Amino acid sequence: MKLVEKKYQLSFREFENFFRENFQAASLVAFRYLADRSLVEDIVQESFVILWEKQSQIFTNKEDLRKYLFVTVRNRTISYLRSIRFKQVDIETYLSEADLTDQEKLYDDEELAVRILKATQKLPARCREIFMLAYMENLTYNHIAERLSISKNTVKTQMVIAYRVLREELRELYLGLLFLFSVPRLNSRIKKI
Amino acid sequence: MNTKENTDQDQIVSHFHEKYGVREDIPQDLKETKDYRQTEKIFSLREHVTFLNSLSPEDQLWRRIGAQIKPPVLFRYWMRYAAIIVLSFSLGSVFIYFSGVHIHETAMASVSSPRGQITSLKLFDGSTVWLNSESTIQYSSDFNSGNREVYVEGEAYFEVTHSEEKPFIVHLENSAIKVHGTSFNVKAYPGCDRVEAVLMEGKIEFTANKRSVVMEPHERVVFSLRKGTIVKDQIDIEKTLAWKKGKYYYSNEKLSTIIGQLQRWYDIEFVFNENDLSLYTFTGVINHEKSIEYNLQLIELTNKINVEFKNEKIIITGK
Repeated sequence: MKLVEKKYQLSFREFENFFRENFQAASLVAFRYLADRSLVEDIVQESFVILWEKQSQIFTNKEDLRKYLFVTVRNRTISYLRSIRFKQVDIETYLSEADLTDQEKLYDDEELAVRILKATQKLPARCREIFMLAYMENLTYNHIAERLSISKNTVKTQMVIAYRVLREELRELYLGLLFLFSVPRLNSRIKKI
Repeated sequence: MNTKENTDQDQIVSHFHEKYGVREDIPQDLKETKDYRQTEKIFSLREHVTFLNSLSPEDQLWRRIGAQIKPPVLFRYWMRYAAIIVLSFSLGSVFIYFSGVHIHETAMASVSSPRGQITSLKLFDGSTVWLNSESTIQYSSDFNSGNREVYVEGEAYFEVTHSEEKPFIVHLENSAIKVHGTSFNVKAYPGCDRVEAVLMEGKIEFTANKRSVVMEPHERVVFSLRKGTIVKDQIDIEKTLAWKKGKYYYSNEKLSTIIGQLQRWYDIEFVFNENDLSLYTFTGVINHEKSIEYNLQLIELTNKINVEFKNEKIIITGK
């Protein structure tokens, strides 16, 4: 690291933007280990506060700041789990995964999930409603048809449309991550608690 | 879109959603398509996406963080000079001028948000105020100990700390709002002929001309200074608060009103070459993050006006 490099410091408003851009991915980093929404929100909140206090000392660019955010979230989640005496063995497994050298790859799934949620907001209202019931609530096509009083064929058509829109949105938004779509990933995700 | 493609895509999507990815029910050649792999990827992340969807609203999460970290620079200056401000209260007639912070001889503290800036500050009772450009809030030296009354000129958004015994009162031009603990937006720029209040949460009482109107969330009250009328309607609160993020939504708004906002945000003077131009209307979004040229171009496109930069002023003429 070059010592003379100019330090990177965000204003209050820039930091707010930084928060808005990154809090979802940061929440997913904690979600790797912890499924409790309000605990995750607390950890993410603390991490942003720490980051604000440290930013002037450490960082030279936004990418650094992002990485540090994710590492902070990860560490705080792990120390929380330790504090409630979670099984040590599992934590070490998580740690070894998190220590993968390829930092970029590490957060691909998180980034993609954020993009998917954003992309669902572009779906027409009815289409989104149907998609959400299938995707988030795991309802079968028959159940959805019944609940919304529509035909199963309509559900099928809308689901095809939904996926088409999502794929297109993700393609447009995320050219940089296209490799994700073309090569299946080798390492499977570690099981969550 | 041809039918074959639709059938294929239906087969792929149904494969995941109806059969939960049981491998055998889909032809091998379909499995090797890009559509299949992309659908598989999207499907595989549904736990993540569902979790994200369950998070508290973004603004709420940010408020919790924003409240804990250092406030913006203007406010920090203000804190640094808090000691001097207290001193000037006791002397009674000292006049201090610093970074938009004035102290008048009446022992009123006043914070202004200069042109081109949005400022937020915390009052002694824990309430938070966001001030739009060229807006001022004033309060007396005994704020919180004796009363919770403030005076606002311009546009401000309040998140008021709850207190049953001490109501929070916002004085506006010829009108006032009484609250206990809630969040709401007020707009009362001088020379604007109208005072506007929009309620986000809780309940407030708007008073003008000795008449009171109780407001429910998502309601707006517009008080016309000239006519003396009070009109209440429903409104999109996201759009009302967009100015906090540097955006303004207009629907059929008079050009003069929009230019007023641009003037406040960009600190530049406008001249209308013909008076009736200012009555033209505009629907759209003005974004503070973009250049003034960009925003003006948008208006130029829709309103048949010409915009010209001359001697650090902007001249508007008809086409």
